[in-house]
Amino acid sequence: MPLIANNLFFRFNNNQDFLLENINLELHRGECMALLGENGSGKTTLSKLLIGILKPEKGEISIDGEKIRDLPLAKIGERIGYLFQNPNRQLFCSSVEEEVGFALQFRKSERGESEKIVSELLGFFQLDHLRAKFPFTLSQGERQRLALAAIMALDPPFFILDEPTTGLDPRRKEELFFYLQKLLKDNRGILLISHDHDFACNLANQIGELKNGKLETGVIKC
Amino acid sequence: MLKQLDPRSKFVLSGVIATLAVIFNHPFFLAPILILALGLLPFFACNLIQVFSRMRRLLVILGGLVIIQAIFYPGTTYLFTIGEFSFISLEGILQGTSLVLRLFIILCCGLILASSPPAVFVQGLVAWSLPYELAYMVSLGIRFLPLLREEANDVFTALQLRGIDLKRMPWGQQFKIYKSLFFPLVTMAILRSKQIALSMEARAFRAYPRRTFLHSLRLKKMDFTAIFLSIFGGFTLIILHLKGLI
Ligand SMILES: Nc1ncnc2c1ncn2[C@@H]1O[C@H](COP(=O)(O)OP(=O)(O)OP(=O)(O)O)[C@@H](O)[C@H]1O
Ligand SMILES: [Mg+2]
Repeated sequence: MPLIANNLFFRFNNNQDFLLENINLELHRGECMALLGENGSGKTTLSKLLIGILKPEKGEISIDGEKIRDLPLAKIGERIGYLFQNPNRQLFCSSVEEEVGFALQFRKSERGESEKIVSELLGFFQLDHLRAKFPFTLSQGERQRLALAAIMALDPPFFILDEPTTGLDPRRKEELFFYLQKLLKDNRGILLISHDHDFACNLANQIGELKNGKLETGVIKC
Repeated sequence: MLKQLDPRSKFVLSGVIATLAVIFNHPFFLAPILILALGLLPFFACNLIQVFSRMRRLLVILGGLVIIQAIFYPGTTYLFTIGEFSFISLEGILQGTSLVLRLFIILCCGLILASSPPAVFVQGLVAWSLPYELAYMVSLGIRFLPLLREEANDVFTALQLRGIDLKRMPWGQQFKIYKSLFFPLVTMAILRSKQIALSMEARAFRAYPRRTFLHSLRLKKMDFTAIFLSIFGGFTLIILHLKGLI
């Protein structure tokens, strides 16, 4: 079942024009939709609407047939992994290892299972040697990878990634590309917000551009 | 609109009102002062209803203060006596009421001052030759708090999105989470303030003993009127009071 947005209208201030008007989108598992648009066009805002941090003035968002409006954030987080545009804003633990394992320590799981998942993720994102470090002393790219690893821990079926490639070096970017491709093959759905035209074009099978509050699909060609 | 007054005029005005609130002691005098202060606030574009609805809890605490004062303040005229114990003196009630009126008056003074943006406020302080580092620190503090709150908000959003439903968690686990957040959040705040200090210095803050401002402050006719009226009115009332006339 997909992530669906229907006729969304949103503005931050009631006496302003709408920042987002009549937005419709549908994201299925195994598919990647890329969202492009100029600075300030409302990409981040739209993504926050989709995961329920912000509420639309009109319109409805649903995931697997359930309305986002009715779900607590914790339940949404189990279904959609959200990468904040600024990784600093979503790191809050005292060590890298704890950060990745945070979501796991509060759910029932087999002994040793959490450790295994954490080790795998740390290994994949090449954070192994940084295990014990305080997340805020990591480099920008390391923090970005850590934030990614942390949301992957819950293994949600959908991902919304707000500019995941910022701060990554070419090698790390390529690795991220292959990782996202693997997620798609594993039947996950990804909404990718990016300014990186090539990255987006190569990964996505649907490209949308936010412009003057409207979401236009099929305009940008790869 | 009085909101446009120079911050220095606002200082004088609220200073005079606060002084009056400290010198006068009887609710009969404090009440009109409070009414005056409340009457002024709308001219400073302050939405009273909004302010008071945000401070509901404070109002409850203040109500509690009056009651406590009324019960325990030693007086001569008691309203209730049970056996050897006397409760609720008239003096106590007066005292409690004065206290609350006073707090409200000072609150109004704060609101008057807050009607200027922090930057203008700093400029006012500097114009009165307070060292601008100090003035700047004050305003930075004021601005830093909302920033911190916003960051903490984001962290709690991120926390919930990691599948943690704080509301439905047992107390013990909630406590554990708050405890684990404490250290990183504080460290974050410290790193953050260091960053701000650094970027201020990088932009030549404190490099020269004097500085200029983008917009210069100048006292206008309205300011002189406001300053004159508040000082004159304040003095008159205080002198009348000292002579025992009111
Ligand atoms: N909390 C807020 N209150 C008021 N306005 C806001 C708020 N957050 C964002 N905006 C405004 O909404 C508009 C869209 O912001 P948004 O962050 O969604 O843009 P974006 O497309 O993600 O830009 P970028 O490419 O720079 O990340 C901007 O003009 C911004 O100033
Ligand atoms: Mg953005």
